[in-house]
Amino acid sequence: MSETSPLFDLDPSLLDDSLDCVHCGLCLSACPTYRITGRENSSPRGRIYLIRGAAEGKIELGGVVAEELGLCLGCRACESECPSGVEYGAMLEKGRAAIADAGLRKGWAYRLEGFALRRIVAFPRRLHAAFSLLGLAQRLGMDRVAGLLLPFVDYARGLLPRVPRAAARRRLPAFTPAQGERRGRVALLEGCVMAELFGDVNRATVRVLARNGYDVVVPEGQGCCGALHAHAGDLSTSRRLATKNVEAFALPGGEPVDAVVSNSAGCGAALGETDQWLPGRGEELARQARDVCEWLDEVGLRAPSGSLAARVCYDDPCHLVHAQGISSAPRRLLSAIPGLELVAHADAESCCGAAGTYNLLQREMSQRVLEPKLDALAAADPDWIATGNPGCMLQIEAGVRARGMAARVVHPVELLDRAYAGSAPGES
Amino acid sequence: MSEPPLTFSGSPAILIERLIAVVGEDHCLSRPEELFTYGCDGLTLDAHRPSVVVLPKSSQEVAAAVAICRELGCPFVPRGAGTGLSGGATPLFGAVVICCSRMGEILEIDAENRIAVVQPGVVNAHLSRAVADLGLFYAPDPSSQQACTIGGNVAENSGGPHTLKYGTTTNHVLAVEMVLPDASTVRLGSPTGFSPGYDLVGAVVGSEGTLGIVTEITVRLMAIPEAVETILAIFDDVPSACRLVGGIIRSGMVPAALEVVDQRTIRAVEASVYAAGLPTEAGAVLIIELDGAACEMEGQLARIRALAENEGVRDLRIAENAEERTLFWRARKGAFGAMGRLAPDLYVHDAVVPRASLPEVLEEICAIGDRYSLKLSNVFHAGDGNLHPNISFDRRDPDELARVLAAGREMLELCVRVGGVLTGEHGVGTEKRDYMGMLFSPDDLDAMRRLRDAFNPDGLCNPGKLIPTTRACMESNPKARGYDEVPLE
Amino acid sequence: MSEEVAPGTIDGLRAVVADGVRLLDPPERTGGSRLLARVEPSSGEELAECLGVFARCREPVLVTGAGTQLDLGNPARGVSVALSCRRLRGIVELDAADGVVQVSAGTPLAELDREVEAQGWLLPLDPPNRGGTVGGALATATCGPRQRGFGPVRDAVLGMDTVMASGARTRCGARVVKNVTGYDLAKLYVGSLGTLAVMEKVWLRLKPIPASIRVLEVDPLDAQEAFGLAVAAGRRGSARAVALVGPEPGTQEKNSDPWRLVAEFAGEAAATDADANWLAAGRPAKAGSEASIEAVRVLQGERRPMGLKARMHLLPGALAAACVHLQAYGARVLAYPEPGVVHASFEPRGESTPDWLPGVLGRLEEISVAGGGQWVVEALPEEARADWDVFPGASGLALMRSIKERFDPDAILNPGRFAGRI
Repeated sequence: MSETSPLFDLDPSLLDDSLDCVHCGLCLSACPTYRITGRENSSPRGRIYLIRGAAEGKIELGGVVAEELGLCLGCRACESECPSGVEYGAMLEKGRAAIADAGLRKGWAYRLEGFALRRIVAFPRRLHAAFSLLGLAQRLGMDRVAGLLLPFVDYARGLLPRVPRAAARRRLPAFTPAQGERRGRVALLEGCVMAELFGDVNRATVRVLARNGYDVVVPEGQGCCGALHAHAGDLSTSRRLATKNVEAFALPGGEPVDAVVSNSAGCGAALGETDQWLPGRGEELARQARDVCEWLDEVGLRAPSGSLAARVCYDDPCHLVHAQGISSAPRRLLSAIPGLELVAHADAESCCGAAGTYNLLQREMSQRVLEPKLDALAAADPDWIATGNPGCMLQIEAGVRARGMAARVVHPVELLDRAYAGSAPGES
Repeated sequence: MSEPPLTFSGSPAILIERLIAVVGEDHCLSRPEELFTYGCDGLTLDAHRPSVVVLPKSSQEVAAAVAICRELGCPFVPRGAGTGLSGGATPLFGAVVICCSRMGEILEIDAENRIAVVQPGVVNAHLSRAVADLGLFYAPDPSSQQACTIGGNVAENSGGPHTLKYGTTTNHVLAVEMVLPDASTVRLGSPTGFSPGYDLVGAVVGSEGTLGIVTEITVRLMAIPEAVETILAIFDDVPSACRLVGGIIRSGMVPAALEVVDQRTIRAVEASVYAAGLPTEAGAVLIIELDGAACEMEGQLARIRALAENEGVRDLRIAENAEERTLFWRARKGAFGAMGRLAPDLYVHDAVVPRASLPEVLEEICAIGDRYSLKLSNVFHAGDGNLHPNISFDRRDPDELARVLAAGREMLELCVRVGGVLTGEHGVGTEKRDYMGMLFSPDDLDAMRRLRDAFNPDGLCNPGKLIPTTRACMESNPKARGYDEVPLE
Repeated sequence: MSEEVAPGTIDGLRAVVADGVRLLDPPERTGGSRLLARVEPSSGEELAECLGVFARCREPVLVTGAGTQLDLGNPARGVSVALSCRRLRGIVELDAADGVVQVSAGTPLAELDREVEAQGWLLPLDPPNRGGTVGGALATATCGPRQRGFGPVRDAVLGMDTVMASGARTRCGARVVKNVTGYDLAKLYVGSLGTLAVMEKVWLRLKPIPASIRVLEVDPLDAQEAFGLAVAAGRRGSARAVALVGPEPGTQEKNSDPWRLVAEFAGEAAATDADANWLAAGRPAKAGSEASIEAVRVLQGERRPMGLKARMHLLPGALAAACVHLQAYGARVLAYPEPGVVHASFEPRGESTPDWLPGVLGRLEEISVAGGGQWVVEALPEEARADWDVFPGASGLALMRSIKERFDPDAILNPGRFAGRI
């Protein structure tokens, strides 16, 4: 090992991880923040070099290292380009954890984020209550008043849709039987933001899975996947949340399932990496985790006969394409819808800038990252923009609205659900 | 004749303040951790801290930054994406790094005349992507093309797999605008490919950023060939694959590319995101790419097949479609990075030998690797005789590092002995500067120094590169110093 | 006569190469110079020692090969002694397995052509004058109709052994086909008219002999059709030479379709046939031969004593307009659309040179500027050479001077021959 001792108490595996990088630089132009700043520090290779320098005690962990790890979107586009197989996402989480542990994650926004993630998001009931409160505030116009007083609130208000009424936010049924010939049984991760803001997507997911011949169970005791906490460097909360989910999804309802399905790319990626957070215990859940599009494509979609005449752009969520390597499955599903025209756009695989809580913490960069995507979408001019992650849906929807574009953002399963709705009942 | 300047000893505060006035605070980096990441390019063994890093947006800003450096007597070094492999962008002597990564605009595409004008920070692959719809492409395709910049390509005269047919960067650069070390801006060459007088563009391409900073480049575009065939010739060993290369060259065919990949490389690539279904049990694969008119393909394929069978080919696989071809090339180009799977560090060598001597030279190179007990793999541009013996190692083992360096030197000596040269596409930089004497006499080097001095008389522009200094004997070999002694206060 | 040559020069040269020094009495008028002596070293060592003598005596020297292209460039300034490399002759090594050859600079091109072809390869140099030496072809970097297939002259050069003005023997490059080891000095030497160093021997890259060659002649064509067709023909994959030959001046009024196209396709038979068939489709084309290409080459090399020849480089899109303007101004025009080179040849019609020349040069400059081109004069009436620089508007002249000053500080090698009378 290096002769110099680290100045900070770093996860010792960080140095080893950083040595996987041979500094070839193939990741550079894949990185949205590097493309904007042109700075080596804001590139994956540069950030790894910073982590390595800090791990070897050559540079301070605070200051630039903390800033640049904070500026990283965590989109992991670099992993799709890395021939050495560097696990950048994991390294980023560990690096942020080290920074947080050293008390170097500074600023009120980070403190607020830490509080929200640890004290609210981690607890489904508190989160539900918080969204109820937010919904009430929106209905009373209080958010607008607050927005007038605090620019940050005004900005955040632009990103958030109106919180749906309570009916849309109620829990999913614990069990939904398969329709048509039964093909098996899957468990569904409800998610936290998904359940609160996109209850309709969750319900569409259940219907589409059932329509495809699967019993859908929604196990009690499940909760947030912990991805946001890990991205923010709070690995201990992530592990605690993952432990809960491992328990909840082990034999839900006393019976084995064929897959644990998620309709949020970020949550799905986290489930798939549970084995890394919880070596041993997490392996079964990681093995069973599937994105809903991946699963439908894997088992073979029952093609809808109802048609949906629309031009659709599919936009790849980073945590689907880069973290899980899934890009063709959703496109194949959408192409299976009669009448639907899948329109390619030039910027599908790069980050939209939502990146979990990034659009709240790094407002300017988040907007600059989004711009090229909006340009590409405007050029393609679709009716719908389909993407499978709540953060991306919010971010792109906000951008599209701000530009006055006609397109609306949906989850791919919503389009499938609509197409099935157009099919005669029982027919698929 | 100028000596390289001593380390910048002026006031960093004044330097920073003046440079900020040119590029703005956001684009002038001076905190120690920021400077740390600019200590090296792809050659990480030798890192040095720059005084400041500036990220100009225009030729005018480059010229203004150079003027300040000159006025304050601070050396400066141009940088693109920092993917070079010979230390060309390494800031020696406390140089200011002038990084062109923000100068990424394609300024003009002229399809009728098949030329494009680009800023130096344009990523190589982005240019080909931008002109693909016009049926055109930019031919030089170094393996790092998805990240490296055309400005960097000009500095290094970058090659790539397709140089066998299309030539290197120098064959595709028609004109440049550059900021000279005296801070004046000149235009050299012309879009027509001819300009009266000495071929200054020819001298500037491949000069490793020691003659000035190129701020605008006019390049030739080529028509995308009507037909392409990519063939994998699978062999039991590397020398057999090399013999087929010799046979093809002798036959008079000029394939677009002839690339050899050995077993260790195949296995590393197949374990990576660039996996392309290459046979992991093969001793070597020769990638043969033919391009041209559709009507030529069948006859050439038949001749290749006959030649390959003569050399005892185990199997010939032909890419069935463009997707499969892309997969093969991504695999080939990801090979270098994939070596990161074998060990923490990688030394990518780059030397050229006469093509007819490839089989013997390869055997000897492997023998050298064995003698030093090193993990050696070979992936190279066989059609050009351009070898890339890659040594995977761990720099934290000082004994292994010493063996890597000693073996590398022996390999270069071998190549020079058979009529070859020290580098085919990566450049001399700091890496091979002190080996130049293996190939060139003091008089030869003196002629090169005269050229450098004509452009760069006070030696402030990228000092310490390419030509050994008379002071070199006083400096230890930079590689021997290694990463662990990066000067940092 | 010896008072015109620096003291010690002739004796010094004789000491080096006794049988190779010839005094010229009466003085010989060549290439705008009045020569009193000629030295012909027969080895690299002798060449180096000769240049050492010139350097020590500070005696400028006219460096030549066979002396066939001294019309090019400006006349040398103040030289009384010529050094010819034509005794540096012969192939040093021809590697038929690798397709490369090392040859002494004074070797006649025709001799090298033969030797290389006997080994199954082709020398990719195509100067209009085949009577010169290899070194001369490289120093002048002139190229005939096969430029499209062979590429620019510099592409053929892999390595060079040269002798510097100081007499130091140096090399750059090597025998290998890809190389970035050090500065690419050979690029500077090619086309430098011997003003930086003297070539001793060079490594050249050979090309395969094509399996099939098809030559076609298409005529006559009007300008609009001719240039579109010629550019397209030049962009066919197997095109090796595409030339458009304009009419003799004064004849175009009688002929509305004056342009004749000569095209050569070389390569795989399937490709040359396809390209030839494409060109011939629906047009009056007849099969040509090597002789058709040679005729173009002869036309390019033709020298009329009172005439002016210019070479203009243009982008393909600007070619047609420039050629039409040149022709209208009375030029005989020969164009190679790919890579965009026009050879224009003018002759005075009764006017005296001083009356006629400025107008022609001015018009050339206008036409070149309008087309975004670059141009040089390749031949002038002898008496005008002293007054007119044949390299108009070279950019980067200060850098060129700076290079010359460092390579040849005492201006020994071909002084005044190059751009800006370097």
